[in-house]
Amino acid sequence: MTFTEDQVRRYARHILLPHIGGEGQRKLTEASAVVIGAGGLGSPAAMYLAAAGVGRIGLVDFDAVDVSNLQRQLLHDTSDVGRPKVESGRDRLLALNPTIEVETYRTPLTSANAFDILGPYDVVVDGTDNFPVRYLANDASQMLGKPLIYGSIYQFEGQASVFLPGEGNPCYRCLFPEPPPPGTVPNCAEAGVFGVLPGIVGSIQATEAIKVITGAGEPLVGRLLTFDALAMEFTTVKLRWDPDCPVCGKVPTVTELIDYDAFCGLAPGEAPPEAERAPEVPA
Amino acid sequence: MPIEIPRRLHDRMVEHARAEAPNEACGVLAGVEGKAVEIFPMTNAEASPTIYRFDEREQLRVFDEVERSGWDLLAFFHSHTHTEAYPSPTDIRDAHWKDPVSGEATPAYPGTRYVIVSLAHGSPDVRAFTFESGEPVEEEVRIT
Repeated sequence: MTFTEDQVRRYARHILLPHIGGEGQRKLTEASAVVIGAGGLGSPAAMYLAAAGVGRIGLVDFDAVDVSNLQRQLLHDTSDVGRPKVESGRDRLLALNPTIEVETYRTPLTSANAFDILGPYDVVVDGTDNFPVRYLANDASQMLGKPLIYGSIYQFEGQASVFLPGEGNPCYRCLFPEPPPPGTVPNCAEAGVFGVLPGIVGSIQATEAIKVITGAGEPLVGRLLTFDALAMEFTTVKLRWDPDCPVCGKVPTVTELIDYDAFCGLAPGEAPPEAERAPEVPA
Repeated sequence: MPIEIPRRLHDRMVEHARAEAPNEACGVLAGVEGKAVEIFPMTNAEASPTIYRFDEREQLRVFDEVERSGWDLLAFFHSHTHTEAYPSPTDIRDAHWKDPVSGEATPAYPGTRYVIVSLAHGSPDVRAFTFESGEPVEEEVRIT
């Protein structure tokens, strides 16, 4: 159908743009994306996808806004402290673009709900801050055949890639077949994070999601982008599909979803008691 | 509210419809106070005999020119090459915007008429509609 006047004006700069144009903008409008984690990475990812007019956006996060989040999680305001992140996140996205639909899931992503939550979306954006959910998101996306837009950060360094199921493309487990054992990764609250970093990596994830949806350019499939904020350097390394990958290899050994033991003092499937909750720092 | 279409613009609209047949043709009539003052024949981006959609870049350009000239989007026109000059269920749906939050459907272009040019019979039939509660309301067309 013909765009409304609001749509044609709102998306004018995309409509005029080579590689996107009216056709790409229509694909965005008809597309859906689910963002796991309404935190540092999820904030810019979800905000740019909303601004770009992705028609339906899902936000998954069990947590509430903490004042220590505000240094980097731009979905939330000072006045949102204490509110569920998915609620303040939805408010922000709809304020940016009231013509889209925002679905919220105030729950941890687990093996029990991952297929139900991710299933109704075209693209999955990984804005998680811990390994158990990262593996869950990877495995579920592979099993559902959905593109996973991966991003992660640690202190001043970040990574991003696109795991597109099929055609000999690698997935996260081709890189790291199994999660590191609990206790071997520094406590997230102690590690700290450079506030701008998730803004950059999450924006790269939004870029890749938009490219996958519209077909523009070459998405980061089979490539891992790494970013060092202190050196201000981007590097890209090639990733290869591992025929022995436990999820996407020739003979998969992981054939159902797994809840791994958690890091950051957080067991999967349950929110920690308020007093024990570590400030969320995306890994 | 009746709309007035000068003969010259009416003939260009019909000419565009015939040129695009068997596909549906589409475009915009710009106007001032209910009277058409300019016509913008446009590309049917669907290139289809049963549906139409404005090409988005062209739409942007036309809307800008209409705004700059101080005109109104008096009417969107399209042709029916094989059926009557009456809104199809698709026409009715496309004339509405469904709010994703409330689910409520309201006219996408309040105040803009939908003119349909039927080529189903020998001589072209031109009729205009607006929508109220999702139902077509016919408006008088005066060719002057």
